[in-house]
Amino acid sequence: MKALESAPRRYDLGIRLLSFGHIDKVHRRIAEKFAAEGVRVLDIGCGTGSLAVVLARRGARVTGIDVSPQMLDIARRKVEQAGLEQGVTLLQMSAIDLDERLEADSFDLITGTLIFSELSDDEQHFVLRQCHRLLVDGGRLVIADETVPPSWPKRLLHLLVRLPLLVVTYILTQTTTHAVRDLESKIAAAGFEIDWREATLLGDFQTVAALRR
Amino acid sequence: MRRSKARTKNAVGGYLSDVLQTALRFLPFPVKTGLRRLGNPDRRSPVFVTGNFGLTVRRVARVLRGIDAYLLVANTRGINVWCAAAGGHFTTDDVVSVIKTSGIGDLVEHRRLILPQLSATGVERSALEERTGWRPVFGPVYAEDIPAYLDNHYRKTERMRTVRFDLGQRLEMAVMWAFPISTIPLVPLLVWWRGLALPFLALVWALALLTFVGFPWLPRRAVVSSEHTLPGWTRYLIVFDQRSQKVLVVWAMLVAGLAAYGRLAAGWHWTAILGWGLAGLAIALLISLDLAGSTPVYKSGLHEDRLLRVELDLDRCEGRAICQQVCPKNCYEIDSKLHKARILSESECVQCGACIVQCPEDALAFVDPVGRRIPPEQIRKYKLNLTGDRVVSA
Repeated sequence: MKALESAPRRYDLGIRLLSFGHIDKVHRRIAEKFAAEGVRVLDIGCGTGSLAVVLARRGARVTGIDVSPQMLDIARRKVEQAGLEQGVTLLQMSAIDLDERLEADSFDLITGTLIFSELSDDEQHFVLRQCHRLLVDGGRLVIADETVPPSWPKRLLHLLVRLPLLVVTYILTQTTTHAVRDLESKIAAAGFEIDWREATLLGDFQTVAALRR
Repeated sequence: MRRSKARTKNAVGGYLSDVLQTALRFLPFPVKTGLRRLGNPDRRSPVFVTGNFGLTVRRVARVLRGIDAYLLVANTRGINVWCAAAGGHFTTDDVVSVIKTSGIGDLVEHRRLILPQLSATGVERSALEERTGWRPVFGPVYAEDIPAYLDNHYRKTERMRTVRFDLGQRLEMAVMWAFPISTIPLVPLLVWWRGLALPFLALVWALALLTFVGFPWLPRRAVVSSEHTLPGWTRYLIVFDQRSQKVLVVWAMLVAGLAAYGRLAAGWHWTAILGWGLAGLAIALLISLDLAGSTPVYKSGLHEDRLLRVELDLDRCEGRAICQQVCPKNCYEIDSKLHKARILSESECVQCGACIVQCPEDALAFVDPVGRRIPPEQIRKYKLNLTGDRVVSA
C-alpha cells in the first residue's frame, strides 16, 4: 500500500475502496470481540488510527505505533476529533524496535492489521516473538492481513480477480503488497494457541486470534 | 558430483531470472531477505548490505565469488538500491531490522558494515551507528568494484564513487524499454495482423538500441536542461524541443532505411512507408520521453519546475568529506588545509540528496527555484514519491 501511504490523506479512502469496505468491518469485529473497559492494547502499524479509535471507544487503553510520522499526524487528528486523547497514545517507531522501547508483560491485547504484508519473513518472526514477550500470560494476539490462499484453485481464482487491481497498483506505485504465507503456522510457532479465525471465501484475507501460552 | 549438478542448475536458473528481470526491470522482484554466507566466512570476514531486488542480489553474490563474506539482504520491497533509497523503501529501519533479525552480531568480532554507496540517500549513517553500535561505511557504487575496494584497504577511488552509463548499462536500458513496448501490442498483432508482428518487433528494438547505444554521441544539449524551456506539456515531447531534435536523427535514419527497403526490396506502397514511419515516430517519442531520467548520470527532465540546488554553509562545514564519499557524481572537492568542502560542478548534480542526508554538521541543504531552503531534517524524513514530491516518510 505504498502509494497510498505516500499520500496518507487518501489512505483511508484508498484502503476502503481496495478492500470494498472490508477493512472497516474487520476493525469493528476485532473491537467487538476483544476490546473491553481497561484492556491494555498495543496496535502495531496503527497507520491513520482507524482501529485504535474503534478500540478506544469501547474503553480500551490503546498504544498505537507506526513508522510513518505522516500517518501518525492523521491518526492524532482522528483521535482528537473523537475526543479519545485519554485512551490513545501514539508512538513513532518501527516494529523492529519493539524489543528496546516497550516493557515485557505490559499488554493484554496486541493487534496488527495490514502490517504483516509489509514485513519480510524474518521481521514477521521477530515481531511475533516480541508480541509473546510484551503480552501478559493468557494475553491475546489478533493479526488480520492479506494472505496467500490455501489451495491452488483458490490461488488461481484469486489471481484472476486481483490481477486487474494488481496491474493498476503496479502502474501507479511500481510496487505491491506481498500477501502473507502460512500465517497460522508462524503464529503457532511463536508460542501462541490459535482459538479463533475468520477468512474470506477465497482465503485471501484472514483474521487470526490467538492466546499467549 | 551431485552438488556440482545442483549448482549448475541453480546457476542456469539464476541466469534465466536475470534475463527476465532485465527485460521487466521496472517491476520489483523481491527475493528472500536476511543473511547469506558467501564462501566460507569466519569471525573477521567483511559484512555487506544490499537490497532484495533479485537481479542485484545475484550480481553481488557473483562478483564476490572467491571472497569469504557475509551478505545481509535488506527488505527493500524488491526494488533496486538507489530507487528504493530515494523513494523511502530502503531506510535506516530496514538496515537495523536485518542486523537484528539475522543475528550477524554473534557471527563476527568486528562491527564494520559496508553499505552500497547509492543507499546513502535513504540510510542514515549516524543514526544507524547510534541505534546498533555498528560502524557503517559506504562502499563503491557498483558491486563489481568491491574486490578492488577490499584490495585498496576500504578506500574508494574516484571511479568507484561515480555512476557510469557504459555500453552494458545502455544495452540494459534499451532492453528495459524495448521489451514491454514490443511485447504488449504483440498480442493483438498476432491475433489480427500477423504479418505486421515481425516488422513491428524489429522497429521497436532497432529504435531502442539506436537511441541508447548512440547515447554518448547525442549532443549534451539533448538531455541536459537549458535556459530555454517550452510552455506546458510540449516540453515533454522531444519533437518540439529544439535542444533534443537530434534524437530525431535516429528516427530519420530509420525512416530512410524503411523507405529504401520498402521501395527497392519489398515493393511497398508509399502509404505503408508512411504508416511505418509514423509508428516509428511514436515509438521514438515513447522511448525518449524522459531520456535524461532513464540514465543514472542526468537528473530527470520531467520536473524542471522543481530543479533544486545544493547550498553549502561554509561556517558549519568541517571538511569531513562525507559528502565527497557519497556523491555519485563527484561534485565535491575537499580543501585539506582549510578543512572545508567545495562544490565543484553544480550542473552535474542529480539531486539525489545523499550529501545532505549524511552531512554530520548539517552544512548542506536544497534550495528551490524560488529561493526557499529545504533543510536536512526534511530531506531525511520525507522521501520522493513517483511524481517527484517529497512526501513519502522514511
